[in-house]
Amino acid sequence: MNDSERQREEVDCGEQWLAGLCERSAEIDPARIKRAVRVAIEEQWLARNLSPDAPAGLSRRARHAVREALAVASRAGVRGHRRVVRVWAWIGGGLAAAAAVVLTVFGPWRMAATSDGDEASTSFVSAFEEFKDEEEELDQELSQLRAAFSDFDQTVAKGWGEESWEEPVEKASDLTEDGV
Amino acid sequence: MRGERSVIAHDWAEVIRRAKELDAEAFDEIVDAYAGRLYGFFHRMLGRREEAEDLVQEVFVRVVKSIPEYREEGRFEAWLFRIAGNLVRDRLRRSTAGDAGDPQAGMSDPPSDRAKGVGDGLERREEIDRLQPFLAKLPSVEREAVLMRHYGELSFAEIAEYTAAPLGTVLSRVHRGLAKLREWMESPR
Repeated sequence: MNDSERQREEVDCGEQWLAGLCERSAEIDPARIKRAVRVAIEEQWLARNLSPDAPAGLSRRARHAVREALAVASRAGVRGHRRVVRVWAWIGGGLAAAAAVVLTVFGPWRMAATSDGDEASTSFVSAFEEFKDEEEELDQELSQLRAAFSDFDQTVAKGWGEESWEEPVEKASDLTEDGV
Repeated sequence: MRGERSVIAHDWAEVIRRAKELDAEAFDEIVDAYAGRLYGFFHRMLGRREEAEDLVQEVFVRVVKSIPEYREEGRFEAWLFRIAGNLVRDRLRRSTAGDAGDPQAGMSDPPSDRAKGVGDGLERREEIDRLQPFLAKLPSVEREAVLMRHYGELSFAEIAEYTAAPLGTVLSRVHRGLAKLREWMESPR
C-alpha cells in the first residue's frame, strides 16, 4: 500500500468517525430563506424581462418607466418582501391606465420619500408628465405588462400560502417605514 | 443514504430546469434539500449561528441570480457548495483574526441548533460541543476541506477544482485535519 492509499484509508476511517459524531444536516427554519429567495426571484424576473436587452415585447420606454418607478420605490425605503410584492401590485394596477394613473400611483411615494428619493421621484414624475403617448403605443404595452404582473402576483401569493393576491389597503405614510 | 441521494439526483435535472425559469416552488425544493447542510457547513466553519443563517440565505439568493449560468456538467451540490465556499472565504478574509478563530464560538448555541439525529444523550451533545473549538483551531484550509467533504459530500477532485489546489494537497488537508480533530477529541479532558 503506498502513501496515498494509506492516506485515503485513514481519511475514510476519520470521515466515518466524524459522520458518527455529527450529522450532515443541521436544523434550520427555511421560512426566512424562502422569503429572501422570493424577493430574489422577483428581482431576477424584473432584470430578465425589463432590461433593455430583454429579447421580446416591451419598448425601451416602457421598461425604462417601470425600472425608474421601482428605483424610486427602493430609494424611498420600500424594502422587504411585502414591500416588493406591494410594488408589483401597485404597478400592476397602475400601469393599466397608462401614464396618468402611474403618476397617481407613485404620488404617495413621492410625498413619503426621503430627500434623495424625493429628488429622484420628482425627476421621474417630471419625465412622465412630459411624455406624450400620441399613438397609444405605451398604453398597449402597459396592458401587456399588467397581465404579466397579475400572473406574477398570483405566483408570489401562492408562495406565501395565500389563495390569491389581494391588494393591501394601507395609508401612504406606511410606505416610509424601513424594512418589513 | 446513497439510495436516497440517487432518487433525488433522478429528479434534480427537472428541478433545475424549473429553477432556471424562476419557478418559486423549484427553489423551495432546493432550499429544503440543502439549507440544513449549508447551515451545518457555515456554522461549523464560522462557529456563529446567526452569521451562518445569513450566509445560507445569501447562497440561495446568489443561486437565483446565477442559475442561468449553471451548466449541468458537474453535480449541482458541488456548484452550490462552491458558492458557499467562496462566501465563507470572503467572510473569513474580512473577519479579524480573533473573530475567525474564536475557540469558544458556537459553544452557547441552543440544543435545537446542534446536529440532529445523534442521540438525545447529554454525553453525546457534550461531544458535539467539544468539537466546535477544535474545528476552530484547525487552519481554515483544513477546516474547509474537512467540512466540504462532510456537509457538501464533495469529492476530492471537486474540492481541488474549486480551491485551485492539487488533488494530493486536498487529500493531505483532509487527512491532517481529521487526524488532529480525532487526537484532540480523544485526548483526556
